[in-house]
Amino acid sequence: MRKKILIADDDRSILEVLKIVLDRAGYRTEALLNGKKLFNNPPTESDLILLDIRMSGVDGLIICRHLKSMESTREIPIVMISAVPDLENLAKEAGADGFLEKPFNMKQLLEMVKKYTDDLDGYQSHEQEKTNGNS
Amino acid sequence: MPKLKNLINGNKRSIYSARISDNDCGKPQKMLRKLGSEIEASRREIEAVNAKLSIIHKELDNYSGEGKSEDSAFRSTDILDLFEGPAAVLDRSLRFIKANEGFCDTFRLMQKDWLGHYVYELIGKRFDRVKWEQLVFQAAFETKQKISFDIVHSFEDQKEETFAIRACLLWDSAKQEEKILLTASRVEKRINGHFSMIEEGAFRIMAENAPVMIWVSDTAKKRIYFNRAWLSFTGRTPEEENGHGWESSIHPEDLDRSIKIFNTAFDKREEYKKEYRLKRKDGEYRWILSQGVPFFNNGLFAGYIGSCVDINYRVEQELQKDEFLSIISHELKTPLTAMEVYTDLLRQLLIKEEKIELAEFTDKLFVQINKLVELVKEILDVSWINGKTLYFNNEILSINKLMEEMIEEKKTVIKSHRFITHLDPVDEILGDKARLIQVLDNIISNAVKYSPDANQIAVFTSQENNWITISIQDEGIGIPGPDIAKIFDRFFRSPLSAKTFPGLGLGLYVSKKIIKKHKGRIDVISEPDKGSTFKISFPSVMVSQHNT
Repeated sequence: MRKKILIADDDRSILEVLKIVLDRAGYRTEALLNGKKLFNNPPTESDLILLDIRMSGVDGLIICRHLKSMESTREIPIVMISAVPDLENLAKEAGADGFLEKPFNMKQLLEMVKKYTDDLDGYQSHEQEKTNGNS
Repeated sequence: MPKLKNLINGNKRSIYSARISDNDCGKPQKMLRKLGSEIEASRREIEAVNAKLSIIHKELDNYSGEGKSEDSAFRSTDILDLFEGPAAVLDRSLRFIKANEGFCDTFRLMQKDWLGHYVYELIGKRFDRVKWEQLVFQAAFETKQKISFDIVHSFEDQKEETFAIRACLLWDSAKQEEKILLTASRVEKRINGHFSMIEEGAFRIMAENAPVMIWVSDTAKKRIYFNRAWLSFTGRTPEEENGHGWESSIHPEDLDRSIKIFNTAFDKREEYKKEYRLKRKDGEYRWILSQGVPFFNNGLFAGYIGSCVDINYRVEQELQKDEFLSIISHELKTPLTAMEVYTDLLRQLLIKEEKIELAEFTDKLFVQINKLVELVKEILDVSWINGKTLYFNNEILSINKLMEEMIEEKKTVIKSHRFITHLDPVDEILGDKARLIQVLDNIISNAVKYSPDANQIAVFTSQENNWITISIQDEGIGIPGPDIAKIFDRFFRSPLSAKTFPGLGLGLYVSKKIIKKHKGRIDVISEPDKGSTFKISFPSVMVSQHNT
């Protein structure tokens, strides 16, 4: 099964380019221009969430904290994206697993995504636990 | 002592006249009688002279102040005759012993008015006994600093005049107690100030009316004068501001730093310049640029004189500019990201379709995008370095290891120059690795950029006492003498090289700021057409930890 990545960014150009790159790299993607939807519809099916920190409407940090506090989404890795390098600490405090600083290139993006979706010792074992727990 | 002299001369005359009257006695008995009477006269003469000498001694004793007689204390007030202007002698409870003519004339007093009265009952009645005592004794004990204080005296016709009062202590040996000598000088239309220099007409008028804030400090770091511009800015009285009172208007966040700069410069008698926030009378803190210089009187250090100007507008503009730059830089990063990733995609597709020539255009696109990215980063560094929230890592770092990593990386990118390294074993330092790499990267890039005709860069590390120094030496175009002092300024671009070498002129500015945050320093030795050596020094980890 191909990994599913949810992308939430209020900037259409970034959202679009991220979707194209990740689609082409063989991932299933879902793009969201508005992060508010994540409150009502927790993305339980996702394998990774790419989340912009400064989204108009709802602050990405609040969404991150919310997803990390809910049982159903706690285990989904979140990579936060920002143009402000100083926000990395805040992102980590909010529970983010990774941080991607703008501007980034395709290689940096794909490496980051790979790290949180392919990591055999890390997230695959989480998946294992999840399935074990469910059975 | 003219009367004593007359007394002695008069006596001589009487002896002489006795001799003449006895002249016609020619017989021996008469001669003997004459001799006896002469001896008797001489004896009387000697006694008289003795008596007069003792009077002279007494007078001399009184004049030298070492006499024991009862009336000598009163005579010590004779010193008042030396003063043409108002002067008076008081006892320690500030009661008049004597006032001179000038005093009586000036304050329109008769002897019956002042005799036995206290000074605060008669003049400068706005100050009570306690205030008078405080001011008089302060002035009297600090005679070396020539402190005066102002009183306002109301005359019977309701007219008011300001007088500068000086005081000094006199030792009255007869009564074995201290007396106080008080002098007064009229101050015309003086608005404030306890400062003798300010009494000089032209200077006072200038200081009072100058469109900048002016202050004067004495030799004990205490402020003794503030001009009208200052007082109308703070809305406070000289009494509130003098001494250290004015410091209560400094913004609490700036207080320690501000006082430290002043004290350090003061102790070395150096000029200084500082910026701090000062509370205006409406309660708003304003940024102030303050400059101070030591001044000397007859070669002796006399204190500090300083000026202050409100630079709030400029500072706010700078902060706004930094904030603006920060915002647009962040806004630029998003489209740059999209551009970079699209270019990547395009390149992949073109290679896939074997359109190699077109794919090479994307490389050129990358170069331009990277230039933009670097410019944006440079602008952001400036706003970051001047920003309020500054995050800094503080980890133990090996300078040599850092240099080795840097040089290895540089070797892969820079093909035009080879690197000669000599790394002495040195202590570790405390610092932010990413920021130090940024500094070294900047200096090395400059070395390469400004030595287009050379082919090597030398890098050394060394240690002296607790200072670790990194030297980066190029054989490039060098820096002209007058420019050396300016190269660390914001946006500085050498007029000679600006056209040939692109850039915003922020790299060294940011580098110096980062080095300063590490408590380090950066120096340059340069000779045009020979090359430049940048020396960056940091305190060793032991020193840094000891200090924190």
